[in-house]
Amino acid sequence: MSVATKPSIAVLNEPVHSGPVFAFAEISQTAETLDEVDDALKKVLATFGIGHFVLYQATDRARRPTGARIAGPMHKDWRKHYVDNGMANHDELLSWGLQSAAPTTWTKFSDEHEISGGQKLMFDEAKCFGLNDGFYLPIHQADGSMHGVSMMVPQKLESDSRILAALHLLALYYSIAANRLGLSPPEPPSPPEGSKGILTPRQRQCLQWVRAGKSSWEIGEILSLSEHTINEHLEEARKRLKVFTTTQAVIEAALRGLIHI
Amino acid sequence: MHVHIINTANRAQYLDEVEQMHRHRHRIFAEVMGWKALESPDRLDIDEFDTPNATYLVAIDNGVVRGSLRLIPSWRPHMLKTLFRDYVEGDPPSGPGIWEWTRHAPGDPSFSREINHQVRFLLNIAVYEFAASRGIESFIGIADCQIVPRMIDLGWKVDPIGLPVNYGEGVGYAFRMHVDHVNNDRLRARLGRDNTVLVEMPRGLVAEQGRMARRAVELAMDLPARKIGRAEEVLRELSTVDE
Repeated sequence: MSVATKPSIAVLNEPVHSGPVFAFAEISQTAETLDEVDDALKKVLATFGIGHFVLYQATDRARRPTGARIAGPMHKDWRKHYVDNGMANHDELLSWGLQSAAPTTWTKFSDEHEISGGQKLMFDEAKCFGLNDGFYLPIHQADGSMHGVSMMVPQKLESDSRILAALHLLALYYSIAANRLGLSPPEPPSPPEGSKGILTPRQRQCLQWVRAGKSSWEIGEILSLSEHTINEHLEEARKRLKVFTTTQAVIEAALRGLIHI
Repeated sequence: MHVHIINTANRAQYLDEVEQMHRHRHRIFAEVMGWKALESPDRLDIDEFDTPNATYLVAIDNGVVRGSLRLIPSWRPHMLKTLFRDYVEGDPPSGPGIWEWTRHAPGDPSFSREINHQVRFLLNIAVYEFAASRGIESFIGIADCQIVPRMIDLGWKVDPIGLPVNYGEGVGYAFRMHVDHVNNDRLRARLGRDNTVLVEMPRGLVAEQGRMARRAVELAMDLPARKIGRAEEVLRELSTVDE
């Protein structure tokens, strides 16, 4: 008789061994690329039945929300649904994180806060993608910016369990690795006097990412916007800079001190 | 500003600073960080681990305490071994090269940015100098999860030895950090300071003598080369007084 593959709920109910979690802390402090760290985290999380996680920059140094994805194998369909519907703008978990430093889960958050109908719908919709719960940790950086680490879980997470403690440690060290490996998205400089208002902050941000070699689709992924919206920003930037191509726009913007070279 | 080693041997020379340190600790932990458990009507933070086993590294700026930390050898009673035994998976690390680092209180939001920056770096540099003087290979303790990114930013490698636990005032976990002296050079470079920061006064100096000796040591540590000649003259004069 063959042994059936255990569903992930069984995995979540097994005792949590701290060894692989501590080993991840080691890797996150010594690995040379974020890819290595990603792979290591994937392996540890797989033992908990978790396949999807994401690290994003929740706010920049001026505490403005960016939602820029920094790393992590996000659940592609859920992310598309989330981005296409502009959910980041209404996500109450994200705004709660601005004032909190504690980890939470979707279940715990729903129990402890009076969430809106929209938020409830969001959690319900996630279930249609097989994501029955999520772990979320806001991490406030010394420079005033904020990271958010989200892990999507196929089963409900028990509060105050060892698994939450393990996820907390993993998320913390994942953010530390992203800081150390310098993968925060480039922020355009503040425009010099006299050049203010030529481009919107969003247009400058898009050009900065083009400068970094990203395609419109990739920038859309990073900024949680659609590819179409990115193309519109770039087109408007070309118009305002009175140039024809995006390459010219990058050069022009750099010459005027609107983006980093 | 220098960081002074204060322990049972020389404590008598630092009675005022020791009291300032306990008051500063209360200010930081109970008032600034809001740790209810450490609130005390006399506004001094003193617990059962402030015993003759503890060594303090205290940043003193012209008689004013700007920050401090507490170090206890792992072979003496310490927090991880007694109070927070459950925070550690397996046996807590213990041995001659291991000390516990607790009550880390650098600066104060009411101090200037510059002073806080100095204190933050000086205390860490002092820890490396102290480690070198006592043969310490690693430190253990409990770190609040929010503080860990800053410890790592200061060049420490922070290895968890337990999972995060809610300790009442926040969430933290037991850690072990190996002492890598290369990082001390990096910290010195970042602070722009190349002289020694740590002062250890000998035991047994009486009040006025102790004060003078401290001033002399601090002066000598910061003495520019062009003043060394004059310092030698003064010393010669002092040492011949009673002949």
